[in-house]
Amino acid sequence: MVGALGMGWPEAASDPEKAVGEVFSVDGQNIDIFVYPQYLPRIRIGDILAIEVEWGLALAIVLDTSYRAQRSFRALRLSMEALRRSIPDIYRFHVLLTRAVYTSRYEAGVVEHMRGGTPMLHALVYRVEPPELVREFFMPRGSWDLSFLQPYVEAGATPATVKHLFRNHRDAILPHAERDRDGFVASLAAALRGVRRGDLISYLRGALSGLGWVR
Amino acid sequence: MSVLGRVVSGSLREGVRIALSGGESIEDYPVGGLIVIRGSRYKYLAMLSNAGVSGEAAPIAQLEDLEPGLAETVIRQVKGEYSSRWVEAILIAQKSNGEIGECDTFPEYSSAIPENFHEMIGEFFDREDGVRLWGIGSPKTPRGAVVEVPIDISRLVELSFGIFGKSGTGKTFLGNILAAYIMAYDEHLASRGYVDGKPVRLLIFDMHSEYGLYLKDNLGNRIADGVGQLMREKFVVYSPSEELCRQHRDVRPLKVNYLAIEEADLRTLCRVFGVTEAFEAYLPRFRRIIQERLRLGKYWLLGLLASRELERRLLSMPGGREVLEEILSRAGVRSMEDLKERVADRISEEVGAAAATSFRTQTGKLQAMVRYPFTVRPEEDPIGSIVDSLVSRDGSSVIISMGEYEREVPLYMMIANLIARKLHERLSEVEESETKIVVFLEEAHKFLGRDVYYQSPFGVIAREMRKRGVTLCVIDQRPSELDPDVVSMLWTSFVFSLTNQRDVEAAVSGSPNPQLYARVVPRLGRRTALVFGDAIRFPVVVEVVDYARAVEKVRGAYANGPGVDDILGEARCF
Repeated sequence: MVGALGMGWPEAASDPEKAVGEVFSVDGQNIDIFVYPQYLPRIRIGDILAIEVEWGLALAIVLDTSYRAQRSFRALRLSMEALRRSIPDIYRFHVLLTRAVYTSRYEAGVVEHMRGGTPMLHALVYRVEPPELVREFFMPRGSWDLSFLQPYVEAGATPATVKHLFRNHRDAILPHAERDRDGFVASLAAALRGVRRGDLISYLRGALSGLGWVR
Repeated sequence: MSVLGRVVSGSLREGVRIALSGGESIEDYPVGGLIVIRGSRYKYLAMLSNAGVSGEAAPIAQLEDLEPGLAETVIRQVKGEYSSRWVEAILIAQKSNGEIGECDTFPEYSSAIPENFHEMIGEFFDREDGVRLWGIGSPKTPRGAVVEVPIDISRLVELSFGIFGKSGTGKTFLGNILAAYIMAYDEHLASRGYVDGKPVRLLIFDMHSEYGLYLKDNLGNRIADGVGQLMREKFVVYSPSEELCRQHRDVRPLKVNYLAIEEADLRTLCRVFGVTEAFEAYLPRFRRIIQERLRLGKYWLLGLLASRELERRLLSMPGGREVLEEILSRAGVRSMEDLKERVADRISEEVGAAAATSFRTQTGKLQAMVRYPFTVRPEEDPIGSIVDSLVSRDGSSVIISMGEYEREVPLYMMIANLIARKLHERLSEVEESETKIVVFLEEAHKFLGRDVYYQSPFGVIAREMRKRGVTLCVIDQRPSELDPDVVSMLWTSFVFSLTNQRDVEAAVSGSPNPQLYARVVPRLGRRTALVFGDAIRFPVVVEVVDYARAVEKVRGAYANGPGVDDILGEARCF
């Protein structure tokens, strides 16, 4: 499907220069992504990532980030300025990982919230930015389908994480959510119904708060 | 097929608890409504006795700060997660392989209320045949009424039955409907030459003239003809009201013959008039003094009531002057005032000063009797005519409409007791009665209450006359005031809404499971009744059939019969 500005899913994940990282490891629904250092500041919790696979795109949502030394860690006792000056390529010795949850796929021109085949290591990863694609992720067939929240929460997303997710995509989805509150809330509740009963309201509040609907 | 709810717990004694499915609204499940539960071997008919919601408050509190209107949207979506909606039901009947019977098993855990349960309710009841089975109303169900439940009139008239309910709930409408059905059943028996049963006669004590004349709404406006007007060929209407007799040529005058009143009749009225127990205790001696010492004989009651007003009444009524002269002559006095003094003096001499004081002070309370319509002509005996009509194979049913005397309880009781006593006397003389008589008795506790049951002629009828073909339709708004023996001898009960706990318990005491049915009765709406007993297959709450429609059905059943237009007048809709 092609977005309003001509940007479709294939185009959004076609230029290796725009890739934000590559697959570092895959463990079931969790995909750890090595983020290229220059993109590190742009990756946010709740971002939708598109990963190259042979059959289309694996779609995942950023859950968390981690940052550690590749091998043993040795203390340097340098200010950040001194550090950059003395070791300009220090990132080569670090691992910048982002954990994303594999929730969905793009295949044969359709977004579906179920997983496809496993991405290969080093498969390129793109950040999904065009609002029309973000909207399609939330409304795959023109109506709300937030079932991707279930694996996302199962993988460890907290109510605060869910709030980030909706806050990050608020501009793309809010006009549609305003027009169809009942449908949006029904889909949200249906998706979250599987979470531990006591947390349902917390997650709902997280999502609604992300959209700015909590006073 | 989807399922509306599933059995989760319960017992035969306490009823069954059902958890409703997610899509069901608890507001669709009225108490008293019928449902069908499909067990693994049986289908069960059950009546809802309670409904409710269990839930948590804390999650809802967390939604208070959502944007206006959004909290309701969210609650609609998540209420199933934080609450359960349940109903409780009384198991009434079970069905398996075409056999239907009382419930003695319990449905399996998770047995379902199927979506199409409405279609199954009719399987548990008979169908109206317009002969002995007549539709009494439609049971409430969670999705609207679907089937009309009949009562068996042939069984209803065999044994006494009761109609209970608060004022304004629909007792009189139902009484008229039952009276019409009974007359239709009698018409059926007549069409077969009474080979299937004796003629059925109704004796209706009609305090508010709603059987003999018109049914009224709560504001007193006329809204439909009573059964006596609709079926004129079947009823003779009597009334003590001269005004009513003037307005309606077919209403016959009913004057009490004061020469026929006995001491026991007067005794039953003493408490109604509010005379003291001492006066009641002295009464046999007062009667003997008047009857024997003053030689008034059959005029003893007039001697007891002697007053200037009585003298005026006697002088103004046919045959009254002769009776007055006879009394004064026998007692050797010049006026009724003198007679009163003479009686008091004799009482003082023979019984004592206290008795004389009691006579002077208490007879004033009985003076209302002087103002009632009465006669002193021996040949004038409407009570005897009424009884003749009831016991004769060629007679008619009778309605006693009180007209403007509707609040004169003593007059009502006097007439009722006199008829009851005479009826008892007449039927005691014969080996076998020619007719079956059903007595409709409004305000029944006045005749069958704990205090009077063993003195009242109706108590005698209730206890002794069933085998002679007399049964009672006990109509009352305070069933707890009836003697328990009376309630226990009712074989079919129609119970409208009652709120007093003792009344509820008394009204449902004859039901298969009084504790459970007691929950249903206070929540019944207007014109809705719990029906149970011998004349209906299973207990059921029905919205009583519309009166005009019931009349139409009776009309339809006999549309081809002889003289139906004469039998049935025009029913006004209400």
